Amino acid sequence: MRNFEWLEPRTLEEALAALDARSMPLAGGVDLLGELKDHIAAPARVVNLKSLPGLRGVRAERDGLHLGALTSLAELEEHAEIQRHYRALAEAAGSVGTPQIRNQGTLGGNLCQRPRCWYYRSEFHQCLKKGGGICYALAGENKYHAILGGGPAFYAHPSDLAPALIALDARVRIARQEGRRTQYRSLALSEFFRTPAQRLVGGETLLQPHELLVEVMVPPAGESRYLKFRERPSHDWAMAACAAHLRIAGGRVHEARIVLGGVATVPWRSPAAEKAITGLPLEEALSEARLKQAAQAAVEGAQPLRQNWYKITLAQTLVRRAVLAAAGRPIPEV
Amino acid sequence: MAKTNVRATGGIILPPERRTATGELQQVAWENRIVDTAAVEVPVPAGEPPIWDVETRPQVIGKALPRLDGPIKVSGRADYTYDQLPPGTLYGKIVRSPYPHARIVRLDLERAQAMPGVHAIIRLDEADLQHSSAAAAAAEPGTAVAAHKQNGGASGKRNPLFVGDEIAAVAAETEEQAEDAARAIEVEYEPLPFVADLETARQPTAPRVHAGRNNVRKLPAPRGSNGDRGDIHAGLAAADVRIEGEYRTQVALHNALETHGVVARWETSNQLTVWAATQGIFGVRGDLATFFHLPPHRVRVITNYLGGGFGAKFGAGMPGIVAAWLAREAKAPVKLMYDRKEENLASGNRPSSHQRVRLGAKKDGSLTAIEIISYGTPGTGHGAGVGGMARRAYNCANVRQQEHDVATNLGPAAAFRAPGYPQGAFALEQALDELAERLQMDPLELRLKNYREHPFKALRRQYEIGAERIGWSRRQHWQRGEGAVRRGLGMASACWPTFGGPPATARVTVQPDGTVTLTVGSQDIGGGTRMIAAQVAAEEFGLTPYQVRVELGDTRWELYGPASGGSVTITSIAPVIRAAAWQAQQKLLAALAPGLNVPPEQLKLAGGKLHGAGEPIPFARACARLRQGTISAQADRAANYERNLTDMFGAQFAEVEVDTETGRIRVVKIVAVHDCGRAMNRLLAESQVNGGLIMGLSYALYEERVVDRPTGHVMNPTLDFYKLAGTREIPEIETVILDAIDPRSNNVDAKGLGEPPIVPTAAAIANAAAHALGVRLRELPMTPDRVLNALAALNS
Repeated sequence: MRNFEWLEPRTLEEALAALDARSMPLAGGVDLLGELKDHIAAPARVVNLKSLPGLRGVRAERDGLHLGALTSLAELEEHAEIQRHYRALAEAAGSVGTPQIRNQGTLGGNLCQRPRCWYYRSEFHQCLKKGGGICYALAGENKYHAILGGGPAFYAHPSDLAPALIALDARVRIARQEGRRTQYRSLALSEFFRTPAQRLVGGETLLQPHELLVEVMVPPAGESRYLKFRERPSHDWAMAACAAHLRIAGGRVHEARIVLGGVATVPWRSPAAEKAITGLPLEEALSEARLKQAAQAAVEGAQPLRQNWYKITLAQTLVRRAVLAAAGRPIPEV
Repeated sequence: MAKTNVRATGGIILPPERRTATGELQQVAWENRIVDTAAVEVPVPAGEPPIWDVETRPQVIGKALPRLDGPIKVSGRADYTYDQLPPGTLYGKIVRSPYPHARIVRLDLERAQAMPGVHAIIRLDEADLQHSSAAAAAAEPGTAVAAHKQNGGASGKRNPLFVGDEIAAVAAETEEQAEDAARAIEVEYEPLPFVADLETARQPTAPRVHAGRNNVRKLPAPRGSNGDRGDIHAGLAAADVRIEGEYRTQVALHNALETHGVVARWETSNQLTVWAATQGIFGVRGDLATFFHLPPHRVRVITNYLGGGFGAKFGAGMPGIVAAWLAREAKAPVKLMYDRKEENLASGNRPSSHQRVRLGAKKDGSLTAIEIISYGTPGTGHGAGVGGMARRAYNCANVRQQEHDVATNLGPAAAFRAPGYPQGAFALEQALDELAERLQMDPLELRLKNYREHPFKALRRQYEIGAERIGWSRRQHWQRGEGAVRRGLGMASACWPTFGGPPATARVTVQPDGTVTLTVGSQDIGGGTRMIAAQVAAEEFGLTPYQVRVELGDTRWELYGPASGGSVTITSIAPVIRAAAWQAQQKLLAALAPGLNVPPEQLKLAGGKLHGAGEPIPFARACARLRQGTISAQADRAANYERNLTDMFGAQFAEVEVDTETGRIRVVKIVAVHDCGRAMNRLLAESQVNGGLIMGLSYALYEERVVDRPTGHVMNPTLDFYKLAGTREIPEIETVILDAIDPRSNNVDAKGLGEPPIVPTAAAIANAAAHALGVRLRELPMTPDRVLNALAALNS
């Protein structure tokens, strides 16, 4: 890796003031260290966030969960309140990497991690994402790439937490330093991500170099599940994943959220799939015909590449099973 | 050499437990375990210890004893090559080609030479560095760089032929400095036409990988009872049923946990010591001696512990030559360990295969023809044949196997655990199942119909045991399942030739303090060679293996041992260890007898004591009577008593679940039944089988080297992208070792076991998946996308 300046800020203000286009923030480092060693990233300065106060931990309040961006994935996975009332989040956190990675990796890092596309990760391939001229995946090896939201680049969004948290209507809080004042803004997590058509270089979110994601807020939730299909269950990113979140009352589905992971360039929420089961009596919503309708709607507009047609089938399977699972019905293990 | 004919009984010793009718495992008395016996005349050379046969019950050999190096390994104290760091060691780093084929227009070392910490830089773009000693060789230290300065960095002589091909190397004081300097070497390439896939490389218009040579090379076809035989056309014409199928297997990467690497130190200008991650210390010594024009004894190679080799770690290779060469230039020790990417680009691989299989059979299932035509790519190397299963495993009069290497601009292949056999088994064993379906025969019955008889062959018993333990009889009324998840049962056979034999040498010494030291010129590849060596010696002295001192993994004793490949290690060294230990024991008893006033024949060592002269004397106290010092004996490996020995066999049975909506194949259980002649250590033998079949399962379902054809790059050279099976992917495993005692083999009835267990696993899983799905998966690995595609094709 290239040499860089190492900064240990003691406060959020100091950290924000140190961030610019030539510096990169370091939380768990799971993704960033790989990028540095692979010569994909070469920042002039690395700003260590790990010792910043107040950005770690889970608070359960009346208005829902407040999650510090530095909270480890292991803590999210094991937290009793999250396991009980935000199951999709616990499942998503527990599905990341390996136990070592979950101890080290953070909430903020998982949301902001860079694509796992092997062309992006290869120093030789100067692809669109690195300011180059082409997306090598189009004519190349694209089994793991996106079928939705692609163009001009076709990587699959790698985050597990993002689909689960979007399904749970999470909001994110973003901080920036303006002079001596720290400014905050908050927005729905579903607005946070950017397709390659919206942003190609520098990240897959709307975060600017001088900004930090500091907190995630999750309102009280209904019934939720996150199903992740891994080619190698011991350690893998999603070939496809689906988060489903249902609010069921009086035997009726009042509200549904269906968000796909691993198949699109961003976490892919499908309002059409949600609509297919919303407002229906539970039994009808869970009928084979309705689930099929929801599943088809979820992958509508998919444009598979040469090697990833299977993702259409796989994603649909996961939509059907995630909805069934959220409703407490038995499903085959994925 | 004089030989004496000895009459001995061979046979099969079944495992110590058997399933009852209710499925429980029940202990079986020794007498009831011995089956299929036959007496043979064995010509035993003079000087060999008393012959063993199927009735012999050794005290130490065969027991399930934990390996003596277990504690030192799990506590991190075992010193691997990776752990060696002599004082003043520099770090080596290789500059590699980013192009699959190129001409080096300019190579400029100047900037790199000025980098901090840099002590030496060498060019590797010379002609055929691996195979000639012309390059650095006789040059005095320091001259390689000087010569390069003189010619002003003129273009090199050797064009890189694959991404990862070696261009230059540096030695610097820290790993980081070495990497920085390597990146500072300026290389200007002129990219040349290349070919990075098998199909394109086969076309007549494809760019040639090796100048002046066709990309496609037909491999020699042996003839005879284990080669091509009969008339394939007549065989096919005589068949009542013919089936034909195409199968493809991927390129797989070895990925030993310890990467390739060497630490080299010049003691004087003509005395070299290297610590090498190798499975053959004498091969490394020979290569380095040749390269540097030294007598072999001037090169010492040490491998105390090895973190896996799997066939890719024979000879000095690039890491050995480069580390020693850099060390010579820098006048300091150099450590050069590959990183994972280098490991997966340039240190070997299992070639791919594209096989067309034709089988012919009579209505009763008897085979009339086996034909395999195969093409595979070994990259710039060689060895893409598909193994000996089709020629060796079954009884068939007409066999033809035509194999072809297809060169591509990718890293060279290396031997990989049972080279060719897993590929061959994947095609042949599936074709047999397909034939069984057509004949409406049970797949196991079809294999029994074509059983090939050999002396003391255990396969029929292995089929029986495996079928019993997986519950094969359930297959007659099988319920695939109605929902998304379908279940299937499948099996496949394995065979592997017996290769072990001379040369190998061992020495045993006994000191007056009771220390028994065994020295043998082998290395422990990781399977437990050290432990088995100790067991064999302990057997002759009535000691426990933990009381024996074992010296191995060092060439300085000048006791040759074979490289650990081809499943030869134990077959080669266990008999010579027994011979040396037996001779030393005879000498010991002869030396002690006069002082005890008994004839030596009356003395016996057992249970750590000397018996036969009144009250038993503890071993160390008996040895204390050796006033004159050391007892020693050295022996050379006698030839196997019989030249043509029966292969090792095995059978594996798999039960799988396939999710038809996700494409996931989940292996529920594998039963593996194997033999290795007489098992030397039941625990280690089971570990060997478990490891082999896990590697086979990983090959079947997960592993695949992915190449980007337009750029010739391997896209998954790291372990996040190259998927090895992990703990969650490991099914229930039931491993059964039985003993196939062939007294004609050697003085401990040993055969090998490293390779057979990886041979049938992918085929057994594929057959189980086909049973579950009703559609056959003809390409490895059997990943979810391929399963879904196969189902989609079936439904359309």
